[in-house]
Amino acid sequence: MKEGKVAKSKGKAKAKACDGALVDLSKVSKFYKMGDTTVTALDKLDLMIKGGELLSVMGPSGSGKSTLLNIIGCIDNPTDGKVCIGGRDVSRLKDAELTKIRLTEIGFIFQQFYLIPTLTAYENIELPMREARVPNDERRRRTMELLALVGLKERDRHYPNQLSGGEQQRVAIARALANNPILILADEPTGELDTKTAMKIIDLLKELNAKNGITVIIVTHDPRIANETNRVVTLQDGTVVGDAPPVAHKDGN
Amino acid sequence: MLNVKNIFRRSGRTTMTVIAVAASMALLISMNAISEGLLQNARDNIEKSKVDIGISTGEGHGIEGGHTLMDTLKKDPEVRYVGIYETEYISFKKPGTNKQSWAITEGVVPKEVKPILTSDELARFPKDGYLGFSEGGDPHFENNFTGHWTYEVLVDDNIASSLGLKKGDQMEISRTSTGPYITFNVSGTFDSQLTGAGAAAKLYFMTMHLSELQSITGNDIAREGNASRVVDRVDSVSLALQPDIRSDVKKVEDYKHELELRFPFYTVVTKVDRLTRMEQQMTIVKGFFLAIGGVSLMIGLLFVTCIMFMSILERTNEIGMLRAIGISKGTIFLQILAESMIIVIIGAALGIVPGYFGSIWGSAYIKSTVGTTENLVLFNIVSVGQLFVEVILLGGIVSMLPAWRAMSMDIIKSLKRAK
Repeated sequence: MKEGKVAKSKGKAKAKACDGALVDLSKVSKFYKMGDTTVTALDKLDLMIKGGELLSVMGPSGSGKSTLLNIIGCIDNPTDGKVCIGGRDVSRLKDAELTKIRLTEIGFIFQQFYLIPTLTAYENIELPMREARVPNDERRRRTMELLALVGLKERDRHYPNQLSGGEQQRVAIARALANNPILILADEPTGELDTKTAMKIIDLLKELNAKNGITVIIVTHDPRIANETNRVVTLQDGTVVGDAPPVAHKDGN
Repeated sequence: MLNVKNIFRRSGRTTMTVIAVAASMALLISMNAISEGLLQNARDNIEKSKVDIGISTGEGHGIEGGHTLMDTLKKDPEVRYVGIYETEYISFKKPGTNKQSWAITEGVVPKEVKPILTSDELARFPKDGYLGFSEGGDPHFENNFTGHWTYEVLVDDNIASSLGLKKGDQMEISRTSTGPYITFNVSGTFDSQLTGAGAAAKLYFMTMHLSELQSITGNDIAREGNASRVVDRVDSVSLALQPDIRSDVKKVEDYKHELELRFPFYTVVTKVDRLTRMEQQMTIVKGFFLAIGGVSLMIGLLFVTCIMFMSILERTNEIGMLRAIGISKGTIFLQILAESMIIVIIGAALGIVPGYFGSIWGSAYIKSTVGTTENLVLFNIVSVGQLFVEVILLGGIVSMLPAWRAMSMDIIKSLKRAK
């Protein structure tokens, strides 16, 4: 149901061309100019992600993981190729349209949490809803629901500096869920957490995926985190060199 | 979505910025109040003046035949009173001493000048009644400058206290600092309302009979070979017009044009002309004062801009995150603009009270420096309101720069920027 959210509301003309997966990248390339040199971040990459998947992206530094995440997250446009999110071609959309998609369709989780230090946990979570003009009552109800979901109902008035790293990341996850996204992108979400807390965060993401059917893409360096996902995509030099379930990945295939 | 709590993130820095804006606002208000006060004071003095028309050569070399011109003009039906004036710098000293000083000395014909003086001007001479010396015509002039001198002089309180003079004492007066000095009798003292206190040199004023001042300064008789003729040179002739004329601007203008035709070599100036000229001059003065306040304000606002730039630089990651999670450029712009504007508004509001006291202090300083007791400050709440709005608008304009910068940040670069 969530997968069709974008297709229903926007981009009907492009819907046919983008039918199918929730995320569909076709021959996507991304080049950066660094002085006289052109750096290839993604090289004719093809990737298809169905709705409801729990997927991890691995690869060495510079393999294109972050660029891939940025393009799927509508933060960046590809130099070439086509990117479909929720059945809509987003490759050439304008900034305002991409911003709206990010607000309503995609949830971001960052390694450094990036909570606003002057806002309480409650206020941080309701921030995207305020931007989306969610009515007050609905916003209040939803924020409390999300706080309960991430187990921080009693910590709603706490500021980020009064929360542990794990708690901050849970607030960030709640913020990512604020506008009922169809897709969650987590860029090294456990990178700044201890192993025990990291696993709790991954469990939470798994729970969201399993119970709510939200597609979750996790960029990670940690094979243990990757093993918790259903599919591991490995990148190297901007192309997919591995795409398999975690067991196969563990076996080195 | 606007989060004004951000301005408290660096409370010390925000406080300093607010103080900077408040200080510049206070200076601007003070400068404005003083310039408006000076303008109002000058306007009041002209409007209170009984002189409706002034006649001079406009070139500083004086009108020849001042007494004759006065008598001629007195016959005009439009004219109520005529006064003639000459003002010179005259050296004075106490008899038997060598220490001399200079006084601004006004030569008047007491009988003629009396009706032209305003009540304020007359109040300068309270101690010995009107002017304090002979009130007849000008006996020395009436004998073609060969008659007797009255040797009467009125001195201001500064001279009196400086030389230890009182009514009935004698003092010496000369055109030059080296003499020859003529002994005069102090027929009274008056309050010039110029205290002479403060940083400026003490100002001294004297008043004497016009013809005697003319004789001292050589403006009485011109010598041509062995012959001589009465010159009777004066600086200006002042006219007070009949009530029905002075109340009608057009009639005053008509009479002015008539005088210009009759005396083509003289400059005829009405009250309206004086007001216009004064306002032109005061516009420059006001511009100067406001420029001082304006520069201070620009520094204050620049402070705000810099602080906001610093703030967004520190919050680069955060702004990148906000953009990434779908916060629009417009919201980011408004967020930074609001933070900046709150600082400007609080600063500008806090600057009003110090501005009020600053203007009082500035006025007191100018009064003591110039040595006047007149009110030189006008704290006008409407002007303050206008300045407040203008400062807010200017603050809004300068705040747009950091807001624009924040809005235009590249999301990926912002997220990647190391803290």
